[in-house]
Amino acid sequence: MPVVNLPVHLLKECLGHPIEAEALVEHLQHLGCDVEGYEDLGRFKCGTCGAIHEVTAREEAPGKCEECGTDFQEHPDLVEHLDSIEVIRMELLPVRPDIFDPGGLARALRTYLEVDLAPPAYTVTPGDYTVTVDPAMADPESHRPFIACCVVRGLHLDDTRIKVVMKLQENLHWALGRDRKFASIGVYDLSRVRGTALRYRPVDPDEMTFVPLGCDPGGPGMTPRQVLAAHPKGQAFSHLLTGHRRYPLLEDAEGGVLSMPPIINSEPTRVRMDTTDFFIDVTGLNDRLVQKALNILTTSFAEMSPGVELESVEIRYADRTVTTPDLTREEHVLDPAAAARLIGVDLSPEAVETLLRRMGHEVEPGQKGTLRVQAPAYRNDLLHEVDLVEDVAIAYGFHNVPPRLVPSLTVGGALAVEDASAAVSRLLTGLGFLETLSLPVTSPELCFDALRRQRTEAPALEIENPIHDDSGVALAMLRTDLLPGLLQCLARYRGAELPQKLFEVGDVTHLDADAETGAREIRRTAAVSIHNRAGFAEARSLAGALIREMGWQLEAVAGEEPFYLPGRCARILAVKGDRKHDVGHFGEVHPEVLEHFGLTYPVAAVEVDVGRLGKEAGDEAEPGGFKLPASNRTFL
Amino acid sequence: MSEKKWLHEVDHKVLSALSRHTQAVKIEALAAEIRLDPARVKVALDALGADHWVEVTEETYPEYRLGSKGKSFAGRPLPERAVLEALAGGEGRARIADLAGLTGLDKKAAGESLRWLGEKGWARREKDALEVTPTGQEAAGRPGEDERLLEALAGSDGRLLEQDIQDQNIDLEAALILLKKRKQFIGVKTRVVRYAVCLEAGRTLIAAGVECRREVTQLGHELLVDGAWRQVDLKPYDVTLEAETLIPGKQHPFRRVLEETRRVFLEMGFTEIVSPYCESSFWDFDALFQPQDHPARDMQDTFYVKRPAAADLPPDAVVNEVKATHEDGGKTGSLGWGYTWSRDLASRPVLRTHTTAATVRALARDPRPPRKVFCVGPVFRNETITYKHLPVFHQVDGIIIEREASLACLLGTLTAFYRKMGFERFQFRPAFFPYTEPSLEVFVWHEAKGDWVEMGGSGIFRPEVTRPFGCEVPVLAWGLGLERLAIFYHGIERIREIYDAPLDWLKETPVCRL
Repeated sequence: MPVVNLPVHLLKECLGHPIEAEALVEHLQHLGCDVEGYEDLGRFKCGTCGAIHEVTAREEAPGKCEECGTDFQEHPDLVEHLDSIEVIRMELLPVRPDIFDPGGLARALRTYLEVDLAPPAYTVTPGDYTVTVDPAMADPESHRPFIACCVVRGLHLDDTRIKVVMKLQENLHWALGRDRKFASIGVYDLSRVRGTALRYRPVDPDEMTFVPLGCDPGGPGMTPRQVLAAHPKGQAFSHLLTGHRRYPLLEDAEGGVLSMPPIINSEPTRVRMDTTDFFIDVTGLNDRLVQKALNILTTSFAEMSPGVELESVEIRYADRTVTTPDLTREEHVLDPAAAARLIGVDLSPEAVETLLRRMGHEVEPGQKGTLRVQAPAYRNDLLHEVDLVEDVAIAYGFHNVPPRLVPSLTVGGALAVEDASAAVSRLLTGLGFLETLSLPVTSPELCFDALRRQRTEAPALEIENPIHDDSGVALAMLRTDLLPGLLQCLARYRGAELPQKLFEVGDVTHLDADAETGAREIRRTAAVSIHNRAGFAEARSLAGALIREMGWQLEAVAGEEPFYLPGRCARILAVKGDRKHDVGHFGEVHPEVLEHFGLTYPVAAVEVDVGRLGKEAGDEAEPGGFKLPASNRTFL
Repeated sequence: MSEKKWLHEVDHKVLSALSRHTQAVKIEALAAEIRLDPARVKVALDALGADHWVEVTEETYPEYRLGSKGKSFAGRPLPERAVLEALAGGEGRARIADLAGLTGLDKKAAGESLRWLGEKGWARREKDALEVTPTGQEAAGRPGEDERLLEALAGSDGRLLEQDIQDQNIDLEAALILLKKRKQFIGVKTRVVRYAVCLEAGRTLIAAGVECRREVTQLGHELLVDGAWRQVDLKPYDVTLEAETLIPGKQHPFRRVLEETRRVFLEMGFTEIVSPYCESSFWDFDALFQPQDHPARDMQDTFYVKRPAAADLPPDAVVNEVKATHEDGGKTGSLGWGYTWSRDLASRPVLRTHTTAATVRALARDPRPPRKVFCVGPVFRNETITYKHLPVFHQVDGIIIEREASLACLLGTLTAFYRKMGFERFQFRPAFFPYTEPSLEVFVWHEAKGDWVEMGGSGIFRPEVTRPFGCEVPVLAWGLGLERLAIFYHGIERIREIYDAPLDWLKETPVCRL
């Protein structure tokens, strides 16, 4: 999760109430924030573009301005040092973008701490600006159909606030916009926007030119195609327009370009140090997210600068007209008794009501003892009544909920295959074997090549996007056998005292066309013994002990496994009454395989299917009448 | 004084021998007399001394030892002696140049002899010749004190006590004056000599004919078969000594964590379940209300399976419920995610990213309360291999389907689990997961780190998860990491060591940690 630095003085200023440093951390944790702690940040401003850079005590100042690229080493005179500030560092809680910034967080704390229980309210005055959306914005070849806008006047941004605003924009892009894909934000100097009738339309890649941010305002500009190919932001975000034949463009009444969403704004509408009136747009693929992003951004502005005026913008789609930002609260109905039951705490409806108010909701009595909860328009995480129950629980405090157990008695039971595995494990440890564990993800190199097997011999599950091990081999499959992992262990323990006796009990995965997902697990055990006199006889004894102790008789028949010496390899038939299963193999490992693993002593090995030796039972052994379908491999 | 009825074989022999001496005897002399190793006699005397039958006293003496050069003259004469005897047996004089030839000495030794012939006054130089003096004539055939001392030392392994030397009538003082002038001929060390004397009680014991028993180390078949063990003395051991280290066959330390986890949930009345490693996206994500564009479903987080290429989906009735829930909430009372759900994406097989896939399957299979199930097993995440991260780790997932279940019951269940696993301090903090509400993270206090460590996530399944499967009651759910328990129990810093376990670690980690 990204970490955000919230300036403490700004947070306190917005909160309008003193708060102890330690108490603040505790409250934030109770709200679900992962707080890393307090820190002093050094700050300096780029003399060229005004961008503010923050560095922690551990970090070095960047050599270049991250915004405009000014080289600070070459031009130390362009570095303007600002006072350092104390920040509180915390991980972003992706589900609550409305508390990403000091304004939004102070708003949440104000009601939570009951500094002021009045629900936050914002005035949006009707404005003159309109945006006409070209219906082609919904076409597949130029798909970015939704836009929401707002005019913000009287917003005075000091150095701290300007940095906060830029970070908020960036974090909203991450959390709500999924890196600008679903929603992307543009902020412009309103005084540079000509006329009030804006247009949002698709353009051909070479139809026109404009000067993108960071380029010479007097220069020739770039076509949209050139922006994607040559501008740094164009290169970084061009994948968002892959498959588009026409690109989105937001322009003013006189055809002046504001931006080419979701890529870049224009240079002429750039926000300056003295800008106080802003035009804001959010465009994207999901109307709800687009509107939420705008609501969060504009209300956080209002929290940070109380004198701010928000003016609505009319969005004219072909089939409808909407006014944004729409800060109307969303209504949910909550049964306070059900909420108290789900939390498991005795709460009166009045108590639930207060807890909801502490989370910023407006509450009115509803029908039949329910509550009509008016949720703030900047909350993006309320899909269902249970989300309000969680708000009630958080306000109450998880730490105040007394733990207890569920009232019903249930009878538990282990899986039959686990019982069989435990028996095998006791047996092998009793024989002096040490258990090892190997990763179930492995490579065909280890699983097949190293064991002199054809890769086609046992079709394995193949991973589409494998990772690589330390030596660069792709771990592209799930293991089909345990023996390769054990031989790898022996290779790692080369040079240690002999004899070494190792075993593993674990699942291997085989393709199975009859299985619901096309593959299934088989519980196996394998054991190896390495010393100068290890050989077929020892493997035979070991296989005999395993099969006999699991209640079967061993019948050995000649086998032909490529990883065993010819003539020193047997298949294991487990016999009980008239039942006879082929459950595995034992033998003397082939010298070529030993050489591959760098082993210079002989190895006796056994591998057996444990599941087939255990109780022949169904999946869930739920006794006491809760009879369930026998198989765990298939659904319904 | 103890009423001793018998003595060990060796003790008996030592005491008997000693009782025949009236005076104190040197231990070595006693050992030689009874033909036993002096060290063994010493042990016996210590034992006898403890019972006050004998007394051992110590005296310190200077001990004279041959140096390396001194040793080289064992059995052969000093060079000046060789020259003196050669001259005295002949004309009484010879040319210096001829000395080597006459004596068979090498030139260096012959040259050396000149100094000592002069020093001892045996010969005189006259120009290039050497003539024996009257003193020399007298000394011929009669070894000096230094030579006698060398011989005596050579005859007793290169070392002698002052007393022994004097016993041989060697004038030690005279010998040392000469020998100390020669390099590496003789050295002196302080030597402790132990004497033993038989006390009156010891004499009485022997005179009374105390029984002698054979001393035996290993109690064996021969002694047991006819009761002969009664006639022998089974020697007591030094019980503080180390013996050979035995390493039993054992389960892997992490396996024991997994087993203990299973045991705790079984004890709490849970039924164990499994689910396939190769899982459909439907059960891994969609059934858990994770939107199909959720970042957790990206290739960089999740392993997708190339073969098998597609998984079967459950019957349409179930699939359609899930689809509707994602799109607009369906019957669940939710807003849904507001997108068009794809059946193809749901059929894509993945390596299960959490064992919650197993519990949600169990929920769908039978949503009737009351029910408790759990699953312990590996899960897969597309993580680069580092010392801290592996593409595989283990989880325990559990659910409780119960009409009366609540957040309080969830906290109680998790508390019971972690208490049974040996933890005392934990915290539950609000968190976010797409499929639970309320959601919380479990933190356990790590004493060594002095910080809270996150152990896993938990919550109450959202109605968007439970209602499509016909479940109308609360379902408590959790997914907890188990490698972290191994970190606590076994002090592992590197998760990798669980799989690349050093052999010594497997051998030395105790089976029991409580």
